[in-house]
Amino acid sequence: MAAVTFSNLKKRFGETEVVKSFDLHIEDGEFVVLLGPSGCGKSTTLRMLAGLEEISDGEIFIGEELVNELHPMERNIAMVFQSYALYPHMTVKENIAFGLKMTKVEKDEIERRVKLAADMLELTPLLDRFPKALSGGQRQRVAMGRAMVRTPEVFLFDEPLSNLDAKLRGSMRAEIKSLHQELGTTTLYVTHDQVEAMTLADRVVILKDGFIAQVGTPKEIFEQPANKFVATFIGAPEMNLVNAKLENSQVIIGEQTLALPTTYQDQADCALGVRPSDLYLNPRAIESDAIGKLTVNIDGIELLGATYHIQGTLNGSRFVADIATSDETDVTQETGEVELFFDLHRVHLFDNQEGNAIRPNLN
Amino acid sequence: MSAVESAEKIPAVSKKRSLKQRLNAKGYKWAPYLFVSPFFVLFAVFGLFPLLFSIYLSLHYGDATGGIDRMEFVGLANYIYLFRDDAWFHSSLINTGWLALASGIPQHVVAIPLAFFLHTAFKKSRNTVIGAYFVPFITSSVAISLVFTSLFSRDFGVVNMILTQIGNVEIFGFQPLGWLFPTENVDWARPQYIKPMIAFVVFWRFVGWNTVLYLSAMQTIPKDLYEAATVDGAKPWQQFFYITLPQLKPMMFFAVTLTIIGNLQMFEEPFIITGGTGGIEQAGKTAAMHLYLTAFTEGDFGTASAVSWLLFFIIAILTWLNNKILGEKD
Repeated sequence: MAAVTFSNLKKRFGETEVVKSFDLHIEDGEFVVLLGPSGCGKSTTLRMLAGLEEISDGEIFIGEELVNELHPMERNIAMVFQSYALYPHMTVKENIAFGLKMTKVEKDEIERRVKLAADMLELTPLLDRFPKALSGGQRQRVAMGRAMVRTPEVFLFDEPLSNLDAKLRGSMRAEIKSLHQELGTTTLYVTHDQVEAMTLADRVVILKDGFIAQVGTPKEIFEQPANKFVATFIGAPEMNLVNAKLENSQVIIGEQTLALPTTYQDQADCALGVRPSDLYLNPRAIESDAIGKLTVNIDGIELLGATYHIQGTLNGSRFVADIATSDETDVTQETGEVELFFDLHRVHLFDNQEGNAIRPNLN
Repeated sequence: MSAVESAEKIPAVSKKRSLKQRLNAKGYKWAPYLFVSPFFVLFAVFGLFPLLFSIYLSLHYGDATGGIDRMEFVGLANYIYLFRDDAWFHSSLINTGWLALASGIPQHVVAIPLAFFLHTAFKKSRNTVIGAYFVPFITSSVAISLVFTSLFSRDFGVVNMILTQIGNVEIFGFQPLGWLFPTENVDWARPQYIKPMIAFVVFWRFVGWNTVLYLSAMQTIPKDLYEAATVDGAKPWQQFFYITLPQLKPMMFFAVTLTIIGNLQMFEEPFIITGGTGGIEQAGKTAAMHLYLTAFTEGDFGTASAVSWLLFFIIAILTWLNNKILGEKD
């Protein structure tokens, strides 16, 4: 196991800069997820660490060693690909053993390690099968087994669950998590699925257009988004953002005013952010010393089973409330306008110019 | 107007036939068959009939051009004659096998690494290079054979000129390469040289075709497999043997099958190079040439048909064997 350090890492494809100054230190044994929309540079960063992509600028260290010029096999990493990349003409056993065979590990040792990995991943009955005879989840486990047997210093996962159905994705997620807890290997995991990122990661790195938008624990990312991009990218339905003004620590949205419990500097053009899951129809459901209220025009109501989505408009912006069906108020009766209540400690404020979060005054 | 009156008027209106009635009409029913019939008629006349007629001919003796009633039924006598007595057929079969192996094996042994090289080394100019390798395949075999006949000419051929110049290189009055290269012009028409010469021409003509086949198969191998192998520590030559070659197996089956079929029916190159005679001691005469000469020079269509059916069985057996070795196994 080893720590991984990226220092001012850059990647250019011709004129296009895909990764623009990437700095990150991953602790030994840490599980870090690179999360972002398509084209943000997350896979490219992972591939540069794997040695499958040349580095345009910057440095990558695995442990104390600079690996920029090292061949992938010299980096002592193992990678699980999105397509699994299983060798179709080899059995499960041959697939798992391939890396060991290439690095001339003794036959007995290969047998031992394959058996160990197969037992751990419940692949023992499938060892003589070919990949085409396996289900998606089984293929995924073989790909993980192939990575595991090499006892690498760093595990790399490139969107490993994106080809699986939702149910299988959930169980494979749990398997990856428990595998990491068991092996404790430093892991870098790329995904565009925020649920994977939130459930698996010790820390999440959110990328946007080749830059790091925020690094933090899943809780930090969700509760204290550093900017509007992170605020809207994390959470489903996404955070409501309404144009507002900050005056004397009061948020003014059109005719409506919210008195904030903490003091803020005045800001003529900002955005108020409220997560749909923080909104209630009934103020008694909120345990807080500061409860805010906004009146929203209802556009429609969707029943999702456990919750209702109230779709509305506030000050010209889309505004969604995620209301539990167990709420005492009968939401289906709401028409025209609705009063939505929330804990004022849980609202977010963003500067509309830069998009960065506005923090309260410290004094 | 009464109900009866109005009912009487109905037939006048219904004279205009409905769509369903029109589709049921005789013309519509036959139209599809009419449209597809040209293929079936042509296939029956030029494909099926000759095929079946050749079976009939192979069981008869006599000049077919004299009319069918002049043909005599001889059972399997033509086949027995070919197996037991026709020494020229035996030698032509050996020649065919020799040429098939000598020109066929190098085609694939060279085409696979060549395709791998083109696949990995060329990016932008790949198509131009492939085009250059493919030109011999689309060039007339007659033209190719004539050009090579000229190149291998004993007195004026370029091949002899180059080989003898190398063989005659002198260092201190000694010819160090004389043991390997000829010092005098070689007569390529001699029995021991004619087959290698024909094999080289066939190899040269088809190596590009096989290269294109293998290259197209290589382009379908997922890039991920190579990346996974790279991370697993496989060097480029190991990737070739452990990833590329096994992935090429279906294409190998197809390409080798085409080579078997093509080489066992080899005709044009040996026919033109040997001037249609098969060369000295008939060393360059293939089974297909023997078939042609038996039918159109000797007029023995019965024996010639038997040759064609024996060739068919040999090709079928070899293709079956090829399928056993390289075909898909479930």
